[in-house]
Amino acid sequence: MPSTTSITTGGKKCKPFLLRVMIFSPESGYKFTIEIQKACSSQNEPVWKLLFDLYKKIGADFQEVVSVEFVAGDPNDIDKIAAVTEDGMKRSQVRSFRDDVYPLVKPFGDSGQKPNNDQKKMIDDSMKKAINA
Amino acid sequence: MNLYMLFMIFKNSRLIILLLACNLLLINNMFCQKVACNTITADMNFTVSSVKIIGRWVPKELQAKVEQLIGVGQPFDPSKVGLAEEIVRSEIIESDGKFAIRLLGSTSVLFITSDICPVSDSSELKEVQVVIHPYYLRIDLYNIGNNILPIPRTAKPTFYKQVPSLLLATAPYIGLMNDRRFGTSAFIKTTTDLLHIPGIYNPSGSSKKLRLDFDIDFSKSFNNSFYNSSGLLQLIHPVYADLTIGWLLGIIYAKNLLSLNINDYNRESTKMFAAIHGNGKKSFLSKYMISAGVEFSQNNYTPLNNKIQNPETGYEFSALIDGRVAKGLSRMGIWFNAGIPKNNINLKSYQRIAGKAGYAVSIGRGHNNVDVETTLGSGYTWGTPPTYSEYFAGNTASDFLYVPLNSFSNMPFPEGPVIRSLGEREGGFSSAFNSVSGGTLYLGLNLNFSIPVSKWSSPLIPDIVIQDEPRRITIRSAIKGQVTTAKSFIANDLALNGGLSDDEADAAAERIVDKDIKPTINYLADRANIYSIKPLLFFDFGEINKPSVGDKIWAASGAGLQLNIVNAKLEIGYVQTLFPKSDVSKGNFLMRFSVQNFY
Repeated sequence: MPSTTSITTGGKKCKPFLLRVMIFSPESGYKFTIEIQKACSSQNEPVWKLLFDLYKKIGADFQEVVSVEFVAGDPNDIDKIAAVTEDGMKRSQVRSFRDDVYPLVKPFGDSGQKPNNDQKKMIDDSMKKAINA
Repeated sequence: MNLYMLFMIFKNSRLIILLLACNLLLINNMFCQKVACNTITADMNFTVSSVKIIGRWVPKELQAKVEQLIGVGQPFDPSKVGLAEEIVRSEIIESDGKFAIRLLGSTSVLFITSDICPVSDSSELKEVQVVIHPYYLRIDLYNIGNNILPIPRTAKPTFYKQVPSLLLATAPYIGLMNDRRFGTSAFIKTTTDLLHIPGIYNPSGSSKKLRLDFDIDFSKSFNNSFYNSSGLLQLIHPVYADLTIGWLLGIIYAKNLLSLNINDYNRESTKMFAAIHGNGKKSFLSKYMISAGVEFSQNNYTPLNNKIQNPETGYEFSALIDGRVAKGLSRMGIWFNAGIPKNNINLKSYQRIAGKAGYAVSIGRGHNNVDVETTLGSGYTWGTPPTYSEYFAGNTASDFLYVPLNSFSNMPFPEGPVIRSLGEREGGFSSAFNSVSGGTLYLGLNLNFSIPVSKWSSPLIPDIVIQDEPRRITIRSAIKGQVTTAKSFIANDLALNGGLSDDEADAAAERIVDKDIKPTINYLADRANIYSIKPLLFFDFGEINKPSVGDKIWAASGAGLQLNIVNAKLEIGYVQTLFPKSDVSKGNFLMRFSVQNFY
């Protein structure tokens, strides 16, 4: 009986998920969402990301105007993001997203321009600062 | 000898063939390995067989977009699944703005995960199925202080673009009921916010500050001529936070043909009312509503074989409070009513007062709890009321503990002790001319127990581990973790926009979250079931009194079954009168089947 002799096998295990951790309206007509995503690479290596999406009220509806992705590289950042997944976001982290990340991202939502590499690095650094706040 | 040798060679060759076949089978078995879910990498050369999104009203366009991205029929690559989850997330967020309007003041938890599993154990068939599971729990901040659980009974998201506009606009609640006097009946209730009709009218800049609700409520007996019909228009300023007081103004028109002991009671009424409502800070006072109204009614009925028709003007006052006491929920209410019957010199003005208190608690841990509910009520009358305003014992269609606090269903004055072995308003004093009259005082006590059967239920949030490293995270722990986030962002919002100091904002956020959001999230994660079947036990005690007649006391008990499946609820049972002797032959087959939250 083939089924009795089969064994369980495969590559590295990776179960992807996406968790929306907060929606915040820093001022009238704007809101941003923060999401934690664990994606999987082609070889099932986990990739931890923090997604910051800015929405602007255009007409009656909010529309996404900027989406910024922070890919966590070092183990400390990964641990912090995993901690937010389970324990939620601390007030200092929420405040840092409001005070440090949002002001950097908002101009791109208003102008419709895309950040250059230097600006991307500044946003990345601010997101790193926020998750470590 | 040669023949013997030939025979042996033949015999051995059969053996060799047999051994070879066995070896081949074993080799085949070795290749027939079962590949575990979520372990398939791009270089294992699997092909995508299908992609499934778990949800209600999943749009075909979304399904097609996700299938195209992951590549049905093409080589599987795990890195594409995360991108597909992002597309599903965007679609759900877009649906956020298309909520049924009664959920306008709402918050939600969104979690999406996927399972990637081989279609078959066969090594020949290297195909993979991708199932995307979004979990989406909405919490209605407007109804959260009410005793109703302000969430859909399923964690599957609804893609509102696909839901027919009529369903979104009317939020129908339909069902079937049975009562020994009213008979088997069907009912429908609808609610439409005329200021924000989902999918039809949602004007730019429309705020959560006002709602204009138009409600229709209709029920009709199949076996008798009884019916209830009403239309309600009410302007509501809702309350979303502790710091504000809401109000409502309304008018309701109703036309009913009701049971009044052994006779019929035809009633037509128009009532205007106003109320204020808000949130309290005490555990026994988490939400309150105080209302006053005036009602003009036309009453046709037949006491003592005399047909009477009289108009009446009634003045009403009521106050209701909801609480969270000792891990249970409580509701207390007091009603005052002054009636002035007209066009009949035999009818005098009268005043009534009634009070009710209810408490419900779940005993036990996890998803299988014994639910205990109790309601205590009493009423008193000054003067001589018309028969239709006397207290009668009997079954009731309304559920005191769970109707929304601001629902007009709460407004009517209590009719008397709830004795579920009798039909609606069936229990009274027997009098001459084969008629029955009611009392001017009543007392009532009701007890309900629902007993869990662990094999007959399934949790709303499954016990699934989503991550082992760097820390073990389950779906439940991830959802419960959002309580901290909610507290943090509410505190920040209050500090930024509410003008509070950091300490004040922290304290206010903690109060809001601990009172409303945390218990709801914990209930969803730890206790809620997507389906459950529970045996029920009922116990009723009641008394009515009329100074000219005396007392009459009832006791009844029964058993039944409660079945919850997502948004459908069925309660069936039989309650038998135990006391008094004159009514021990009476029993009531109770049935209530209802479906709501179609989307």
